[in-house]
Amino acid sequence: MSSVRLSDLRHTTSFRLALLFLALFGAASLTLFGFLYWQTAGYLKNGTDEWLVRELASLVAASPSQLIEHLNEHAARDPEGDRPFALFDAAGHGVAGKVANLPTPSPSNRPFEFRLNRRGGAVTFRGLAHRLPSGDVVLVSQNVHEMHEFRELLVGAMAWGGLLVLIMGLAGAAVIGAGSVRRIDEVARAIERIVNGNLAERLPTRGTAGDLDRLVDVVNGMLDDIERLMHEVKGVSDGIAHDLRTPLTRLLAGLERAGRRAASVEEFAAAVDEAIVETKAVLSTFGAMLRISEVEDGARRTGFTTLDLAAIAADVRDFYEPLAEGKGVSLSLNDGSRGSAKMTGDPSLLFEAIGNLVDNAIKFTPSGSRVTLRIFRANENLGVIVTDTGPGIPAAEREAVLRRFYRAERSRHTPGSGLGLSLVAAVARLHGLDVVIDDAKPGCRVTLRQEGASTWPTLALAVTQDTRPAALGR
Amino acid sequence: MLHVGDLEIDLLSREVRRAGRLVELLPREYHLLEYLMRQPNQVVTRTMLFEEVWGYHYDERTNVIDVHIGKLRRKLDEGGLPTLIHTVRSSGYVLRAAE
Repeated sequence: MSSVRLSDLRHTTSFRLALLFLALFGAASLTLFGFLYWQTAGYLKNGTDEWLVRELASLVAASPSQLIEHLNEHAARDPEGDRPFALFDAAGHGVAGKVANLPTPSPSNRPFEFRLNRRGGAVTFRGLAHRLPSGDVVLVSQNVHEMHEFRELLVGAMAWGGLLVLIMGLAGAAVIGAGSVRRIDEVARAIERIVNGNLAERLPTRGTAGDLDRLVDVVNGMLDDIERLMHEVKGVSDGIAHDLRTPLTRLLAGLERAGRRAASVEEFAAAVDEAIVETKAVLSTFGAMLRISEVEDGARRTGFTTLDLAAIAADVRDFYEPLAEGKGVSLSLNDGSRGSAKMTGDPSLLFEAIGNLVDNAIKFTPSGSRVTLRIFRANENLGVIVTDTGPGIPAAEREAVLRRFYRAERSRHTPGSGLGLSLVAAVARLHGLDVVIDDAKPGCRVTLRQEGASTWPTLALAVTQDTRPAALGR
Repeated sequence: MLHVGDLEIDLLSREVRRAGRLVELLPREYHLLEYLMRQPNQVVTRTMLFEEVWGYHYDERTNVIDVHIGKLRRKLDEGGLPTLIHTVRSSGYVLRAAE
């Protein structure tokens, strides 16, 4: 698997990107080089042409006798014949200078190029000719072989350089592309393993902050969430299986017993009543589950109104007071909102949630102790605290109790579906409230507070401020 | 004034009398009784009571309403009088005059 297939390589983004950059870079270099070539060649040619014009002008200005003299002097100074001057008669035959015959094309007062044999080879010259009034033609010229060679060298260097860049670019693109193919293959294999059921598997990262790594991090985060949700769903199914099997088993046992032993109508009626109670418990568990999903759905938010949290807390206190009284638990309400407990929400859901907390607190607090319901306002954020002096919830279980069907070991014997606190959590989430469970030393303290509400010190301050009147009052 | 058997309540002064004796009720207990008095001899479910008397709408599943009814019943039946509020098994309550 480590060898990279060519067809894969061609289709990778990095390979294509590398090729695109190569093409762009090539086009840019070509343009730059063309411009350089054009400027350099033009400069060299212009230098030569200016020299030709100057020399020709001085020759033309001279008298015929001076002209021959000049030409001879010049020829003496230029033994190599790199800058040949010459005079031709009207028929084009050389009269003086180092050029035997007037080269074609015939003079036209414009620089032109021609070839002469020098040291056994044809060499390019650039010349300028002028026809004198006598019909004779004067020619000045210069060997431009080097200039041509220079230009050829430039073009050659460009061609080789371009080829080198092309090879390196292709190789680089192949290396980068192969790297990304290998990377994608790793990720794809990891995904295959996840699809095949290994949910604990994560996509491999390289630890660099590259774009693929960022993507992999996001996907891994998503996988964490999915894994958590899967575990939750599994927990819920286990909970359903466990919590519904017990009453159904009891129901079945009761009915079988009645079928075998009941002799009178009264006995049958009693068995039917028992069955009804068990069935109702099962239905009520289902009802609670449906209700939690309904609340979690978020559709309830359309029914939100402005409500007074302190008034709802007072109703909860009124509703549960007889229950607390019957158990010998003192239930007190302390409103620390200073008259501004308005928030948006669903009154019935909040009543149910706070009621659940109070119900739990009363249920788990031994007789003779107290449960306190407290409304507080920290900065701009409202909250409710339910404190009891019962056994409390161990730190390790505090998060778990908010999950569906979770029941602390010692609460197994008390009636209830184990769904109360998950309903509270669902209602809190719907209202943008945080649920915090902590130790009231002794006992348990559950806080619902508006999210982003204060830091704990200010909240703790609000709580301690609230505690004094609660202890003194009522 | 509403009458059921020897029980009567005055809707204006909110006074409750059983067999001529004044019964002291808390506001919530009075509401509960008034609601029952308005539909005598009819079965009233816990959910109906909860929605009418407390004004919140959800399926209350705890036995707290039974506790409230129990308190009210004790106050009305004080002195060994026959009970007026009868529990209808697995559905609710009915207010009926003692025979």
